[in-house]
Amino acid sequence: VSKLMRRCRLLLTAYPAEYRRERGEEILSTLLEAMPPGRGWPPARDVRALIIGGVRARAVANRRLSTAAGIRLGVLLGVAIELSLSAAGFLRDFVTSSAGFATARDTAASGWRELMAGLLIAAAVTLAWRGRSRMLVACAPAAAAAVIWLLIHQPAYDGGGYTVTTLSAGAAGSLLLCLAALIPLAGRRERPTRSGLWLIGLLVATDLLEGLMPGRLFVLCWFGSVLIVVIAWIAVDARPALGLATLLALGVVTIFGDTVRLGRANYSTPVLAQAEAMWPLYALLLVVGALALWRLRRPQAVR
Amino acid sequence: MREPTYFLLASLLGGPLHGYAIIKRAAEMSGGRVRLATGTLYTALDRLTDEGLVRLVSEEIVSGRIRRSYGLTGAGSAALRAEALRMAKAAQLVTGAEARLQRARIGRKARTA
Repeated sequence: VSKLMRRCRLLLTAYPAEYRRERGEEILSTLLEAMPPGRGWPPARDVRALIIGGVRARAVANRRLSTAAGIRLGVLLGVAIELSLSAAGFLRDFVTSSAGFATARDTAASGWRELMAGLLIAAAVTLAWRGRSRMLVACAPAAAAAVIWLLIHQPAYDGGGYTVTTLSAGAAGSLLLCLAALIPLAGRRERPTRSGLWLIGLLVATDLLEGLMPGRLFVLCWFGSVLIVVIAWIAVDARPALGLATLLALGVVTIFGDTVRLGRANYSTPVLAQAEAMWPLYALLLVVGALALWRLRRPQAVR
Repeated sequence: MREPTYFLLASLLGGPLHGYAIIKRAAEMSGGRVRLATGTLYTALDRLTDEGLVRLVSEEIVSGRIRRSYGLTGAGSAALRAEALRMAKAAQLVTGAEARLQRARIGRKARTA
């Protein structure tokens, strides 16, 4: 029975945590009572109904938020994704440079500044996520200072005809904007849910894996599955779409800042080409984000 | 009103029932046609509670597990009755027409005999 119970509990994770606390035991006992004896798994129709019921309960819970709170949490998610991606990048740079992988870089000079910026940004995101506004007011400016320090003192190395730096001016501008935005976005009554952390983790893992395993097929498969997961997510909850739309806006800030500062001709060509190749995806995200905003305006329950 | 909802509400006509009892009663009343899956049952109970057709009546602990019983509200009974009347009228359209035809046929036979 304990194995069966474990499996049933696993199925119940389709429901939001708050719902499970209130109804989980009741659903579990009905499920066990209704099950024919001697089975290792619930019947397929029960499995299907529990998954659909869980997804519906999530959708209903998400639509109970006010529009303002939904938008705020969506934007917070986007800002948190952007900052987490940067923090993970800085920490990866620190690890690779101190392990001696980055040959062209002045490892001793750059590594510690990147470590500092990465850790402070990660701390600011954590504080904002947990709604610790007072500590965030101290931490976000410290993280901003670390970003500026890194921007000014970073070593530049020759990338074959153009200068490569760890942190471009546009990216630094976008980071500073995010850190400033964290303070008003955090610390209200409604908190972001734990499922948002999964999305952040998924995107950070994507970014790190892309750097570690540069196989085209692998990257395509991974990106494809991430895209499917994100789209499925958006069907239940509008906030990830808003978060991704925010991420898109921040990407535009970065590219705009760098193009203005360096001029198109001096811009590092691979980065610009990569950014331009991403435009269809950005456009798709914009449409999805707009749809998400529209859906947030309708607070009715799912039938 | 969809058939599973109808039989769910109808199962509560005899008084409040807990989750598994609702599943069993709905299956009996529908002649085995409506077999509510546990997930479907609770989604429906949530919706019907929000709409004010069903309410939580009692909570008890049976062999270490929580057991909640649900009952019809006044609005729930009224909605069920309205649905039953609507279906009876719809049925009458067919059964009434068949009866009239039958009577006409008998009448013709009697006149020709």
